[in-house]
Formats: sequence, structure tokens, C-alpha cells
Amino acid sequence: MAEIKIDRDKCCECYLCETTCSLQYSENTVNPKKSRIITLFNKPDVDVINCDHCQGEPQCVIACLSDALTSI
Amino acid sequence: MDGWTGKILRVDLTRGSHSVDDLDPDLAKNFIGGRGLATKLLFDEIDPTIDPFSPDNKLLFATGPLTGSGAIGGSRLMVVTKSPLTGAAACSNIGGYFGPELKFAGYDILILEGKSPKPVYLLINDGDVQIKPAQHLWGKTTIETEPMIRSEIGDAQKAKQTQIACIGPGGENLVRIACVMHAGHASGRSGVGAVMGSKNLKAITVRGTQGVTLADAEGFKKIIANLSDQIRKSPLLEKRPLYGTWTGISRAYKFGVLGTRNFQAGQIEGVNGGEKVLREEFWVKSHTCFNCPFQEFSTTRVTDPDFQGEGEGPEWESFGLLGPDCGVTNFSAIVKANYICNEMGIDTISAGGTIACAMELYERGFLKEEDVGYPLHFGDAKAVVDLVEKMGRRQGFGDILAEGGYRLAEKYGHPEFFMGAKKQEFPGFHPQGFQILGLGYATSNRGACHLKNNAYYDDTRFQTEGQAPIAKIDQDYTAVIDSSGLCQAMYVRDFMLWREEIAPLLLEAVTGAGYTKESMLLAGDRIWNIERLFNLKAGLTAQDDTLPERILKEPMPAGPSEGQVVRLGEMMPDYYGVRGWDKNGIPTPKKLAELGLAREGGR
Repeated sequence: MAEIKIDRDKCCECYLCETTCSLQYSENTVNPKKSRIITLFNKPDVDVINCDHCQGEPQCVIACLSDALTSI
Repeated sequence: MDGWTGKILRVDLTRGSHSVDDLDPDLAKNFIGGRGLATKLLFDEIDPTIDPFSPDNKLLFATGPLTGSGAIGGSRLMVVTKSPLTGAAACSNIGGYFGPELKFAGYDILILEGKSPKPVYLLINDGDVQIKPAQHLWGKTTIETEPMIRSEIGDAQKAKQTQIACIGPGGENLVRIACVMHAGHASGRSGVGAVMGSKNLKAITVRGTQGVTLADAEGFKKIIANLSDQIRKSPLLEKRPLYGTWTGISRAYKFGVLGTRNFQAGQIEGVNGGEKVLREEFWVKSHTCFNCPFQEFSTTRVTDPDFQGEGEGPEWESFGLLGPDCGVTNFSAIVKANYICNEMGIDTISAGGTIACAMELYERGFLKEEDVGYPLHFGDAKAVVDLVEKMGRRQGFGDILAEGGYRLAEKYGHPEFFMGAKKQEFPGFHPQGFQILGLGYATSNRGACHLKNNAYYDDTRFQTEGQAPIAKIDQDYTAVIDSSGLCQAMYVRDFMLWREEIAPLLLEAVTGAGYTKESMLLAGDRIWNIERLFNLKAGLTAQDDTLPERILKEPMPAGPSEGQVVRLGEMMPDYYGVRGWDKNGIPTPKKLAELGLAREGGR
């Protein structure tokens, strides 16, 4: 299972990762509250989550223009 | 509908009731959303001649189809009402996270009607809409209000996800330049916060769990991937978080268009390169809006014991008006005055412009020491800091300043010393160094404005010929951006070369409503004209499309724009011509038919 790690110093809280993630998984719909990486923002003490729904090409990491997310 | 939620939430504050209307898809397509759609609804629903503080005035919080759509920079919300400052149609834009959250709650537009008998705040949680007592919040600053409301939400996660927009003492006290604040962002201009105060509405909280559907998700993803690539390659991704809008200070200085001492000059010593001073001595951290990587906003701190504090900003325009326009170059005082404006919930631009006007009236002997309580010279940093708070609280001389610069200058018998257009104060750039800027200020539907005409090119700045068509297209395009829910900083200012190409692609991928570049710009033209029709019905005329005598007749005394006046008379006939308006500035029947506004234009 791949992991997504957030660097909170780099994160500017623009939530492009959430909108991109939600569009990937809820059909034709942008909904941050349905994003699969929402845990990163709902739980400020959690910096790493298990997530491999993009099968090795994490769309949230690609979308982040602040380089705050990495796939490990 | 895709892009739009298709729902309008209507809240009657007099009765304490609410309803949900369906949005007409044709109306949505023709007026896009945000500024355009809300102004059309305002035009249809109120008598434009009413007193802006009457309960019959309405206050609209309007998202666009791209707000919360996942489009980069799709964070914006427009607050629309009849302005108590200008008497014209107001549209005041705000970023942050409030607009997207309103959309996720399931509404394109929130319409506030009537007047609550007591102070209240509005709570929106998807379909759950409640009007809650706000007596305990009345009198609180905007900075105090948000955490107080958040602390009333039991669930910590929900509290974090809740977005709040509120007014401060400025809005409560019907200060004509009061704004609506949200998380350090301001729906700043034209006194929209005072209309909210007149309705006894302290705040609006919103949380939504619904989505925005896209017409062509795959096409949309491709556009965004392309946009991301271009952003990654752009030097602005590094530069904007460093200096935000502050580079405006040096740009204005360089061209000699830094509005100084109530626009008597275009430069002042001690502020050139100010962006570096702000970054090195005041900056604490950068932050951003929903779905925007540029991080233009700054939290700052002042350590100077005279002006100590911490807060948001200032943006460049706020700096220009609270600083150089008042002859003030003490950075600590400027930043502090900006904090107080935010706390009071008053527009930093109009606040600075109004104080500058008072300073000139004082120096010319029309305003006396006993009127103010102390001598009021240009350059008095402590006076600026003192007066912004008094303005917000309507204390002492602040009660007169709270009426804005035009009413102040008129009260003391010299309206010619008010520097603005349509009773709204100028923003930071002095129009004498850019002819097109003068034309833009004079013709902006909401009064002098930094967001209605951004096409000022360095090499043609002293030319009047050919400026009108450029201004017209820019006004139409900015109307589109303001209506789509996109941010002007990104889609108007930063990416000038491809800006008109990408917006229609985004609109079409998200809505599927049939937008092309041509139909998009036609919608912008339609939006500009519905605002014009509102203003004409409200009693404004071609006489209001003008600038102060100083700007038209007194040449810039020194600097890179020395000797210039705005030659407005050379541009206006051409402007009315390209707009399809007659010599009295009234849209011709032919123009209105072309825009589908024949019925609205009927009289």
C-alpha cells in the first residue's frame, strides 16, 4: 500500500489536492468533502496516510503546485 | 445543471424565513454568475432609486460557475447591492474559502432581503438554514467575531470546515465605506458591509458537503493539466508568495503614478522598493485562497512600540492610500492603520482616500483644528491610525469621515478636493500617467476602481488615440472573470497573453452551456450594460462619467509623468461609440437588441 505524505510547512491550504482527488473518484463531481485524502486536513496531527487508489500515479501529488505532497 | 448548482437561497430577514428558488438556465448562461447574474437579479428585483439603507435594498452573495469547480483560481464570490457610497450598482469581490463553501452547500447565490428587527447571524449548513441571535456579537471587531462564532459550533471538525463572513463596527454603524470580511479577506469596496449592517445581519456562516458537477470532466482535467504546467514554468509561482501585490508600490513609483498627498503628486520619497521592506521587516507568513497556489496574501507583524500589532496585509492599494496618499511613509503606521481598517471592517482604499481629502481641506484652511480635534497635516502617521478607528466607530470627526470623501468635501464646501469617480475614492495608481486608466476610472460602473480596467500598457500610456476599444474589451473581459468565480489576479493581471483564450475553455468544460470566446465576451458586454442600465435608472447620467478637475486640468507637477493631465474629452466620444451608446451615454436600442436587453432598456 502506497503512502501519501504531507509537508505542512510547504502546504498553503489551497486544497487543489482535494478537488483533484474528488474529481477522480466521484463521477464528474468536485467535492472536497468526499476526497480520499481529506484525513490530512481533518486531522492535523496525521501527516502520512495510506492511499493507493491512483495505482502509482497519485493525482493529488501531481496537482499540488506547492510540492507539499509526496508519494512514498 | 453542470457548473451551477441551479439553486438560489433567499432569506427574508424581516420575517425570519427562507426559501430556495430554481435558477433559470438561460439567465445563468447569459449573465454567467457572480457579478453578472447577481446584478441582473438586483435590476429585476429592486427599484434602483431606493435608499440603499432601506429594507427594500437587497444584498446578494453570488458565486460563479467556476467557483469551487476545481479550476485553479476558482475561489471568488461577488457581493452585489445598491451602494450607499455611490448610489450605483456595487459589486465587491472576495476570495478565501467562503464562495466555494456556499457552492458546496448547494447554492449559486444567496439573496438577503428585508431587515431583521434585532442583530442576527445566518447559519447555513447545506439545507439547514437558521437565523440565530447575534446581540452578543454586535460591537465586536471582525477579528473577534469569527472565532466567537466558531466556538459556538460543537463539533471541532465541522467548526474547522465552516466559513464565516462578517461585518465589524463599520458595517454596524452604517459607515458608507464598510466592507464584509472573511478570514482576513475583504469584500472591500462601495460600502457593501454597511448594507449588511442596515439589515442587522452581523455574519453568515456556511458549510457544505455537496459537490459541483462538471459537464466535461475529462476535457476539464486536460485544461487544468496544461494550466498547471504553465504555472509551474512561470517565475510568478516563486515571486508572488514573496511580494504578493506589493510590487505595485515600485511599479507606481517607477512611472510616477503613485497617488500622493490627495493625488497632488505621483511620487513620494521613502517608499520606492517598499515590497522589500514589507517582506524583510513585517512579513510573517504567506497564505492563499481556495484552489490557488500563488499565496499572494501575507500575515504581518509590527514591532514598533507606537504601532504594535499583528494581522493581515496591507495589499498594495491599501498601502498606497493609507500611506503616500496621506503623505505618510512610516511603514509601521501604514501596516497598523490597515489592521485597524480590517478590525473595523472598513475599506482601506476609501479610508485612506477620505483621510487624504480631509488633510488637503485642512491644509487649505477649509477644515479647522476644532473640527478634527487636532491639526491634520499630510504626513501625520498617528492621525491616520487614529482616524481609521474613529471612522469605523463613528466617533468625533470620524462620524463625518464615515460618510466617505465626497460627502466630506461637499460638507466643507469644496467637492473639487474629493479624488475619485462616482463618489468612490481612487485606488493607488494616479490616472495622469496612464490615459487609459483615467478613462477606466471615469467609466467604471461602480465608481473609481482598480479592477475594471487593467489594460494599461507602458508604451502607450500617454496616448489617447485607440484607448477606448482597448478599455472596452478589458471591461467586458473583467466582467466575465468577476462573473465566473475566477480570480482577476491570475486571469487578468498575471497571464495577459493567453487570458482570453483559457477562460472560455474552462467555462465550457464546466458548464457545457455553449460558451465560446465570442459568446463569453458578448456576455461581458451584456453584464457591463445591465450595470449601466441600473445606474441610469438610479439617476446617474453621463455627467457622472468624469474625473476631478485636478486630474483633468492641473498637470502632474514632477516625475516620470510630469506635465500630464487626463485628456478625457479626447477619449469619451470614442468610448461611447465603441460601447454602442449615444452621446448621452445611453445604450442605443440597436445595442440593447444585440445584447438581448431590449426589455430591460425600455422606459
